Amino acid sequence: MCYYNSVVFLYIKLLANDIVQKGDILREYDVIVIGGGVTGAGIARDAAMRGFKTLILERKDFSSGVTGACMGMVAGPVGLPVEREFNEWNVQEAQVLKQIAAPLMHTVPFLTPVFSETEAVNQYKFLQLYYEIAKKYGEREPVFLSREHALKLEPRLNKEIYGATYHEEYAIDVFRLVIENLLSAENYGADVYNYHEVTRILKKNGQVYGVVAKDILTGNEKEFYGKIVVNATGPWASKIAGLADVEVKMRPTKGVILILERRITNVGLQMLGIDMTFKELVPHENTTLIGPTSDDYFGDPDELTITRTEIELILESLSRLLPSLREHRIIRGMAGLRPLLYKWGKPAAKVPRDFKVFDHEEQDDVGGFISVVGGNMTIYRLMAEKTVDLIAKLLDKDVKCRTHLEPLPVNEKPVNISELSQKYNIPEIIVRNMYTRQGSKIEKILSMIEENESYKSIICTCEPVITAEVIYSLEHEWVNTVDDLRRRTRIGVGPCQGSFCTHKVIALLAKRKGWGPLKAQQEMLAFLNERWKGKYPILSKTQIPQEELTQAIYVGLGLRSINSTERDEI
Amino acid sequence: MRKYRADVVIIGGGISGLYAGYLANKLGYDAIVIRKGQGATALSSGNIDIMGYYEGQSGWFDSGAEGIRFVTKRNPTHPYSLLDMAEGVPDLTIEHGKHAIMLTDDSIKEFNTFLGNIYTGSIAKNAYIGTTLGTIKPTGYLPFYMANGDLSHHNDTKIGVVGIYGYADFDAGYCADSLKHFSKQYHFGIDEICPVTIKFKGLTEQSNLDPFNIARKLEIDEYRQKFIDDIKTALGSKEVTHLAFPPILGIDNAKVVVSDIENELGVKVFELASLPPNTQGLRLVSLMERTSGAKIQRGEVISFNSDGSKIKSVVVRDYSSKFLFEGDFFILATGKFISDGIIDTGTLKESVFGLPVFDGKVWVKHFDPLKMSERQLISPKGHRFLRIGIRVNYKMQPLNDEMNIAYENLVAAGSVIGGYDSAFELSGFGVAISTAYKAVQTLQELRG
Repeated sequence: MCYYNSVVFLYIKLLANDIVQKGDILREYDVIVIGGGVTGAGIARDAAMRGFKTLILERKDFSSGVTGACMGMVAGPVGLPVEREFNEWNVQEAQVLKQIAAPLMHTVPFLTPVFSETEAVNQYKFLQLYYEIAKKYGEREPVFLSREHALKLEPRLNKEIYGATYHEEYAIDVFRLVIENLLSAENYGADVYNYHEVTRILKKNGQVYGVVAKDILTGNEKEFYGKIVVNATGPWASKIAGLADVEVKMRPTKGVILILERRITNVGLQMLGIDMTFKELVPHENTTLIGPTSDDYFGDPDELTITRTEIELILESLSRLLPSLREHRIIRGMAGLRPLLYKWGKPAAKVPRDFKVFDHEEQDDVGGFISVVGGNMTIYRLMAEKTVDLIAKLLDKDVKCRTHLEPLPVNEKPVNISELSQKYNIPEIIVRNMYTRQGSKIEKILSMIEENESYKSIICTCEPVITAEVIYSLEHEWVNTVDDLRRRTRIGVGPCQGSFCTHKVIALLAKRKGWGPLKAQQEMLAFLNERWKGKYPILSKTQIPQEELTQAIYVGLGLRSINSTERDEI
Repeated sequence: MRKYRADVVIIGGGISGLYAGYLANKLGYDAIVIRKGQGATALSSGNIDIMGYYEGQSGWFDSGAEGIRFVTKRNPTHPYSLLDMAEGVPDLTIEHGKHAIMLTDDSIKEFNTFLGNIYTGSIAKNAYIGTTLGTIKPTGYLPFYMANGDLSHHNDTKIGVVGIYGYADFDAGYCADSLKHFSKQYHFGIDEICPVTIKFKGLTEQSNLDPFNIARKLEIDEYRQKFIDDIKTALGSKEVTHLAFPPILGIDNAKVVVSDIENELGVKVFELASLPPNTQGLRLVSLMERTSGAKIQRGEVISFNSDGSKIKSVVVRDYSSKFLFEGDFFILATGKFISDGIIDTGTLKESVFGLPVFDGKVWVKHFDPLKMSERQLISPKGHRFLRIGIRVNYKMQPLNDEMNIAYENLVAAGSVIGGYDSAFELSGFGVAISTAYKAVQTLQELRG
């Protein structure tokens, strides 16, 4: 009998192995992370580094939710509610990011202009609070500049200012930060999937044991089994928690950011806006970001739109500092939901930004399920650390976090940009820009040119991005659509918003993905439509000619929407 | 301020402005074209679209005439419908569109004479050409460098699509695949379409090539010969009857480039309609400049003088200098948004005379983005903002918001006129040419 049992057991095990190898039904993990924003990616990396067999599932593309809609500012002292612990975290994490992701970061000098002496004193005091923390890490002290000095630094400022406080902040490429975390997770054995939407959470006797996910690209449903399922879905956290029949109460606030066609100032600017919430103007790559707004939002997170009021709120606020602001072309608007913790009795802009890791076993008697809610981009690593600490405790493993000690793949070794630029005869600005996305990997990317000189050709003329980088990203970074490639490489985000590069990128993708002509055309339309979504709500003034041109190019050259028979064919 | 005088002052140097200049000059007027740039014409692919599609209609029209008939029946404010009203009211005794078709046909024929008959085509039958995007579009008339490119006329042909190594704007493989697919879908008689990618060894750089760079090189005999040799090598034993090119076959000497390749390789050659950066629109503008006969003055019209009923003069600025141009007649041919003919400065208006604008139905004073466009970039309904422009009567005289003639001696032509979406309809040059023709006819009438 005993013998028989073990034979059956062996048989089942062999069968199971077979199925696992075929990669169809049975997939077992220690940790399944739902959500491919910065928090999810951070958790995946941390868990994989601690030796847990990890899976991360994202329903669209990585950073396509709220992560992709943030301004990319790290440890901004201003504009946040004054909560000492939270600010301390921010400053600390900025230091960590400087260690592990240096190429992705750059310093942004900031002016905070004021219009009266009282305002100046208050503002200076406020920044001193930040500096008290920051000085421990050797950050520069904020200084107060007279009107003359401030105007010298930024001549287009309103001449009526009283003066301005100067301080420095950091900005980071969040899209790259997420990808780098995922690449690192993958190096540690994690399975990384985008376009997998979790449709069900598997639960038995109060214990979560896995998820069902739909592969959006093929339409297939798959089951994944895991000891711990982590809900790191930001604004969608309540919805995902609902799949496990538990409640996560949130207070999402909507933030809108507008993008101007180029860098319009030397430094970043910030001020209290017309609604007494902080508004910033940040030079970002070849563009300028202005915003954000902060309002309660109780609708569907997938149905965010930008209103005229929000645009006006930003423009009216920052025009006070920069009277010529309205002359500039707004090329795009972005809206995102801050996934904040539920808080009664505070206006939207003042809702605390701290975070909480919910152990649903403790709270709702649902085991194996964790939700992480709140926080901001800067402290993503800390949030991940606390989450995986809990996972380690639940799985009874004593392993420590190392995500702050080991650099991300982007920062593995120093590279000499000028030397590479000369070696391959490529303008230094192109190599330098590529370095801010790919860091130490640029040596490998540029070496592709040795085999094929045409890989030096610039694909995106706005940014500029060369063919080699696009192809490298295509082959290594989970790219399925042109829009994914935009998040990896910045193609299509410049002043022309993809009008002059979409067709080139489609050709590269079609070849590597084996797309037929109809599928390629559908993808071209999909990307142009995605860009359009951020453009039509803000369309006005000098952006209108750009859109007329885009129409003349694509519609004027006979591109039409795919009809239903064609869709069936694809 | 220096003062000049002309019989006809034309504002705008795109297709409708330069054509109006030619027509006025031919009628014996002293005409001058004032332009601040080359406008949207220089960005175009140079073929004359008459009417290809209409909003809400899924299929394309078989001919420009069919399209005009269709639109004149349904849309009374479309420029073609205005041209259809010979006497200011729809002529109920004859078929819809008849006048407009006749006038458009005449105007394009005259336009072709003006340019030395470089176009072939007909208002009675659309041509179907390939584009560098890999799409196929209907159009009316083809310039000589596209003449062999009407894919609906191909029969058992074998087309090689030529790509150039290092010219990233154009991927021959992708384009060939796509053209093959759509040719089959439309039942064109093409036997084979294949990519032919060549290395243009005559060039020192093999990356970041742009069409102007290659086109200029091809106008030099020595480079052209090398280029032809490179194609020969790339073709090897591959048999083709036609070679399709991106927009690289020369600029002012394109005729020589095309015929040399044809003669040396024994194949028919054509260019695909292309998006900017693009030599095709530049060829057209350059040819029109050389043949229009009108004077061309660079500068921007910054203000105008009138006595309330007539325009007396316009003030033109070219960098720091200012000039005053007096004229008997003025033609407004400033284009739409791309060329600043219509501007949004908080209020939406025509930029030179401050004329009110409409969208084909109602006056539009403020540009409200959420009401101006569809939610899809490529929408079967077109876009409202693309239909914005000034309102004219059937004689192409601009109207003010009381629907009266704005100025007695002012007419308009081209895309500054509202009421149609040229990108969706594929009607840009057709409307530009026919409205310019009508506008000059009106001048003749006004002179009496």
